[in-house]
Amino acid sequence: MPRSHHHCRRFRGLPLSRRDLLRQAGTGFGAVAAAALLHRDAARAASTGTLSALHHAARATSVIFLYMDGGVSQVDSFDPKPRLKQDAGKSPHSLFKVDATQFNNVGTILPSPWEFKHYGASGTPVSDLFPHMGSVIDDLAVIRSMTSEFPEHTNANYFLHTGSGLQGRPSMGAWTTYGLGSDNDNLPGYMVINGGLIPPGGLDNFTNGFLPATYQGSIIKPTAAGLANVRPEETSAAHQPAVLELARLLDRGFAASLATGTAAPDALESAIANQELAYRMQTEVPALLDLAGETAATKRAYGLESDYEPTRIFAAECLLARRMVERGVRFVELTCPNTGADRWDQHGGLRKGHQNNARAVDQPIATLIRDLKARGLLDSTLVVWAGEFGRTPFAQGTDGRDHNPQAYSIWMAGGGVKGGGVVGATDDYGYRVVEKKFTIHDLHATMLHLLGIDHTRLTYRFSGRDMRLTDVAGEVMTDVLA
Amino acid sequence: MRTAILHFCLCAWAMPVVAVAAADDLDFFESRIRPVLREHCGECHSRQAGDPEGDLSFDSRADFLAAAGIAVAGDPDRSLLVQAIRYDGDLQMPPAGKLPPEVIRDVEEWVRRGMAWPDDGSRSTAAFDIASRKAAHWCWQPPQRSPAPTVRDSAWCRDDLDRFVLARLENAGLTPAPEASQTALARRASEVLTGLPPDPEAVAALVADTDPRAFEAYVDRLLASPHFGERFARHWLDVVRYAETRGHEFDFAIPNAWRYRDWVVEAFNNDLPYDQFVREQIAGDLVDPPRLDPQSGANRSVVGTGFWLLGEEVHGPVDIAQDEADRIDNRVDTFGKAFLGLALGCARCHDHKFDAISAADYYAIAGMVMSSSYRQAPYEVLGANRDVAMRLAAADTKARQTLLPLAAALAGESGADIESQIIAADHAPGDGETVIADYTQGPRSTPIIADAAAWGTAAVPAGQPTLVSVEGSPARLRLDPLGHAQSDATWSTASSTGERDPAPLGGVDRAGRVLRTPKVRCDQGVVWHRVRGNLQIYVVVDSYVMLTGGPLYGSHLMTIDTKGEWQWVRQDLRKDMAWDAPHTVHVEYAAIAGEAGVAESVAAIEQPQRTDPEFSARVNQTLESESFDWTSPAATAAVNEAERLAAARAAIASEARLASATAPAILDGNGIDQCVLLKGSAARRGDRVPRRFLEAIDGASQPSWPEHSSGRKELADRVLDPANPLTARVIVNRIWHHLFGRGLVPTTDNFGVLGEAPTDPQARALLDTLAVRFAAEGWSMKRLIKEIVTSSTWRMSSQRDPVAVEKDPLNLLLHHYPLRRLEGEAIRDSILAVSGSLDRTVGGPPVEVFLTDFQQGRGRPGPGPLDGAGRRSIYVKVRRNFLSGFLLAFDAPVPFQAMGRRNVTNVPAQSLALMNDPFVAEQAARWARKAVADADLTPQQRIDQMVREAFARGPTNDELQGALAFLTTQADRHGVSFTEQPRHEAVWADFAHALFNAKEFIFVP
Repeated sequence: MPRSHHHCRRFRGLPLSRRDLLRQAGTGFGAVAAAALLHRDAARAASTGTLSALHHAARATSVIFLYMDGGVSQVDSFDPKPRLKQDAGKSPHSLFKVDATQFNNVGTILPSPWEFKHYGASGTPVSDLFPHMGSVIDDLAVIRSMTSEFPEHTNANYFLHTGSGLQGRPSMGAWTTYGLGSDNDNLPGYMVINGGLIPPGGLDNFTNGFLPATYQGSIIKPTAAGLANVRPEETSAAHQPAVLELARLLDRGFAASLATGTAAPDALESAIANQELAYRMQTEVPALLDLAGETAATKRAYGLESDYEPTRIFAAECLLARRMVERGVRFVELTCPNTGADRWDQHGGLRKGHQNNARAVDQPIATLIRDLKARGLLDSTLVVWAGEFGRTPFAQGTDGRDHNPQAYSIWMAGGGVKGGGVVGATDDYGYRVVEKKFTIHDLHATMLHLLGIDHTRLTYRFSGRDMRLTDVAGEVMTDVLA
Repeated sequence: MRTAILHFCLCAWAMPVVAVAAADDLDFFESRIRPVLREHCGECHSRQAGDPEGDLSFDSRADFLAAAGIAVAGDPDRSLLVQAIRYDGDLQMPPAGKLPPEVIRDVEEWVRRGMAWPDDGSRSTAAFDIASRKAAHWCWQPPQRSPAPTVRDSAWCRDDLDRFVLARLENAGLTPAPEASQTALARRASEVLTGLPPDPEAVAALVADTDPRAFEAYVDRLLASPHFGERFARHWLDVVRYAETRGHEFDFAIPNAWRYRDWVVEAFNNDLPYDQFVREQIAGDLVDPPRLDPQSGANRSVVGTGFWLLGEEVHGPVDIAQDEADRIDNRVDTFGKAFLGLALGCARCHDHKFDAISAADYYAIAGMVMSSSYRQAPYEVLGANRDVAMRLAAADTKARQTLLPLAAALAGESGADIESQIIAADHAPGDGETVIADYTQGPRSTPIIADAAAWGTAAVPAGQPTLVSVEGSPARLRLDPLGHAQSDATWSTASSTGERDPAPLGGVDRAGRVLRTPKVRCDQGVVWHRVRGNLQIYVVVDSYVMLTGGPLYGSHLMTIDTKGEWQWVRQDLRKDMAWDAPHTVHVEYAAIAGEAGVAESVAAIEQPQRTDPEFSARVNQTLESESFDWTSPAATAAVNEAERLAAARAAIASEARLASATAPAILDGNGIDQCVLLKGSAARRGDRVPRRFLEAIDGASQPSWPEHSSGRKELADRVLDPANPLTARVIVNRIWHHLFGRGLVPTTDNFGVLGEAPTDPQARALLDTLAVRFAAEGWSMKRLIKEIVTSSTWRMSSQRDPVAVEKDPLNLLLHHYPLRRLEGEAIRDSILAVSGSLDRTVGGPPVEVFLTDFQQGRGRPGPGPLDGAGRRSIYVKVRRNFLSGFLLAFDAPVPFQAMGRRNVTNVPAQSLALMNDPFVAEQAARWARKAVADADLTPQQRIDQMVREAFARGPTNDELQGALAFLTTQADRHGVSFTEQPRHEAVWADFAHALFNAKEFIFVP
């Protein structure tokens, strides 16, 4: 049977389908092998929950997750609070109940050092930190009522990435590729472009956890090194084909020794095929990373010619993200470059730290939105901009802000998202949510929903129960849906 | 009289709902309360709309009663229901908005009057019935030994287990695969039992051995190899989520965790009976007598308790009580999966949805975990120093008996009934005081709990005579005015030889110097210590130990030097936390230098007021007065006697062994019963649950658990009791899983409803029979492994019969031996072995993990050597946040909970690693260097040797020809002539690299 060449092979559970593989191999297995395969695939579908079909029509096929490591201050970005000026210098304890904070160094009400302007047809206010994002505001759905459960980075990072504050659970990218597979045989389905900072909690933010290793995030650097082990050693590159050819000769004999009148074991066939895929990846990944084919105008627009190095790094990340989405990578996450200010985590030096971080990401992100739109990719790409929590409206010390999980702002754009609006509201100080409180579980549910997945039905049995990205919670945020 | 053990209950206030109610109370309920519950709560908290939120429904009296802890009859202020509708705390109900004040008053009134609710005869629709659940699922039924079934081809069977397997095949009309060749068996047994390839010589010897029991002897040699223990220890480490760092933000160390790893390796190598293996992990600190190392006398048993302490830990959690609940959860869950094959963690937030495990069962065991604290145990010297401490205590008693009358007589006190005058009368704690420990009360003092022998066996009673040296004058006697726990100066020179806890906690070399108070519930955030000497004082709040200098909780730790005087020292914990709810605390005192004493430890806002007994003070006043004549014959005689006793005492103290390695271990404490935490939240406490074992196994009424101990010793007894249907089955199944790649119960860590049951009745009968015999015959894992490995079943080849594959494509019936993909560790170790780089040293400190540039993040160590210094993978440091990329690609587990069954995946990253990882390339080059060293070999011989090293078999003719052709053309690519330079290293390295990339290298038939 010919292999389907449907544009979007999202229905495949694993990046490499056993069934397709053997059909492709064309070694003429009889009904016996087919019976084994059918049985096995059926068993897998039943026991792992890998989707055999979408739960509903997808609005997006890829995700770009712009991870704002450290926690952007909501009252300095997308949630203006004039009241902070009025009450500047007052003790927050005299104004509202203050929750325990990470550093327990509660200062006075600290107004935003930035002014807000209204942008776009929607007139949505954005602070002077993000003029470029302001310019694409009509494509963004700003959510001012996001919450987390944890005021510490590591728990909050795990929570944002995996739906659990504890270490070791599968990341949202792993869950997504577990459900949908990849659209590109020669690239991993879940790629993390590391701008230089790995968030607290480490690589376990991108882990497959208890899901099979197939789904772990592949860490890519936006610079020449690329992906681990993807380039042969300089000296062996020319010698490698023959080495693999000899290995293949040995494999043929090995397979034959195990298969008297029947197919060689599945696992062995898969391993052989994976070696061929790996070989192709050696070409595909460097081609992906090579920006030489991009026009000078594109590079300039992203910020690759900026005189600020972090901007250049994040520009390369955003441009790579677009190239990955073009190639069918399912889930792309971008981490921030190092601006010397410890991510967005401004416990002190708010003005300088946030300014530098904004300078690094603002232009590249706005260009990414415009570029995706121009290429017709925005409709099928969900872009999410979020940190792990927000920051307090009162100072930590004198010129910083501590962590605030009670309320913060994120935005979503692209496939299936209603741009140009603001959803949810916080109190007069931007401290707590007063309207449309959303949780990380809701965010995950919404992301999966836009990808055509019912978050309650994407499960994996582990640890004695059917695990979900959304644990036992999560509601789709219908207010942001187009 | 105060009880010596400060036993307490964290939640005595959670009382049952009053069942009998007056008629007007019922009217009040019907008219004022039920409509409110229906209107404002019913949308979410009713079964009519599906599963009620939080498992709480107000549909019926029974449902309401089932929600234990939701309210306290008679006490609205302590009722969660009332707090929620008042919008007092985190939980604010109903979420849509606060109820009108009059409605809130009604509910308060209803609770105050006893929460009358008519008995409508309803039963909770979700009634949790352990008995019926137990009856409905196989794993709770006791295993029965079955006779081996009769089979047609009994000649095939070497062992009874073969009959069970063959009977299944015969029933299905299948025949087993033929026996594998000796070479295949040699490789399979070597990789499965030791994780290393066999030496070609060993294979040749087996093939040449004509003894019919040659394979048995070969297996014996493998089981006797120390590499067997390494291999099976790694399997066990998967189960116990083994790691050497605590993960989270900065990935701090679990100091000396590798001592536990070596303990496991040794246990397997020594064939420690499995019951003892389990007992020491659960309660090795309480095993009496402990198992001692025959050479060094080191306490082996206590090291096993490291098992509990290998989980993730968070530093600076804002909600410290919730952090404790999460930490305990990981321990309870790992305990359940490891030993019982039960997902106990599922019963944390509610009764288990499917299994016969209630939330009460979970918290009964959580109480034992909560009662057990962390220490670095100086295990090498525990036993020796306990003897020293006991002899010192005897010497002190003797000194007291001898010198106290002498000192009293010198001071002119009458000799009658001195002891009764010395020790303070009971002094009740003042208002607002919580006594954490009181060591002033002689024999009625708080018992000594310590991490080693430094603080003796009991508190020193008040009035202990001591010798005071005075410059230029004779030494004098005086009485110590306060009873106290005492650490002699000797112990303050104890030193640990391994890692310490991170600073500031580890700023003092604590191991062997710690006095631990009982754990108590504490409403006050200020603790007073009455101490003497130079001490580190650590108030452990909610068992939080990550005092690593990060944000928060610096106030838990202080150091003080009282310059030899008794002093009340204040420690204010409110600097770091609001302390608006009770927390559990205990205190750990560690002597920094010199002699140290602890008299009392009290939680109170104001300094405790104490009136000390006058006797000692009076005696001392006389003895210290200017006019006292220390040269009198009586004084001289007394001092001489004191000096003689002191010298004898010093001789005993000199036998103390002061240097020791340490290992993370449990320090047992007083028993604490835990409350059910509703939805697993530390902020929502329900009923207290007495510590006990699972109801489904031991019934609802069990003997009381001890108050002076966590009860882990009793827990181990229950786990290992013959009436426990799970323990033996679970380990037998794990071993079967490791030997066949799939357990008779495929879900090795979950025998519950959501696990997979044994494939068929024969599989169940086989598992049960093996389990019953395993326990009855002494719990020997090596014996079980040998029996299985030498069976006809295990010796089947991997050749697949087309008919069998059609009928049983998943090989559930075992008609052939499954092709096994080696684990990452075995692949890496095999690479090192064939290249000649393997360092076969068994045990020892870990080698730092190799990290690539892609592995970044906080707490990143300096990367280790590419080849891991040639050490086996089990000795590569397991850093939670920086795991080996090579091993991860091959499904090494991310250690956070029990993973007795690894994923076995096929991903391109595996091929990429074997193709391009610099480690593999480096090892190929080393292998080539080794292979070409012998100049006398022909290329054919060299190929033959390398193929034998890699695959434990000689090359086929096709392979030999292919290899020669490859070498010739590859030499050309390297710009050399193979004929002229048949030993060119780079060419042979490419050949070696091809062998590593051949699937046969990572797949074992």
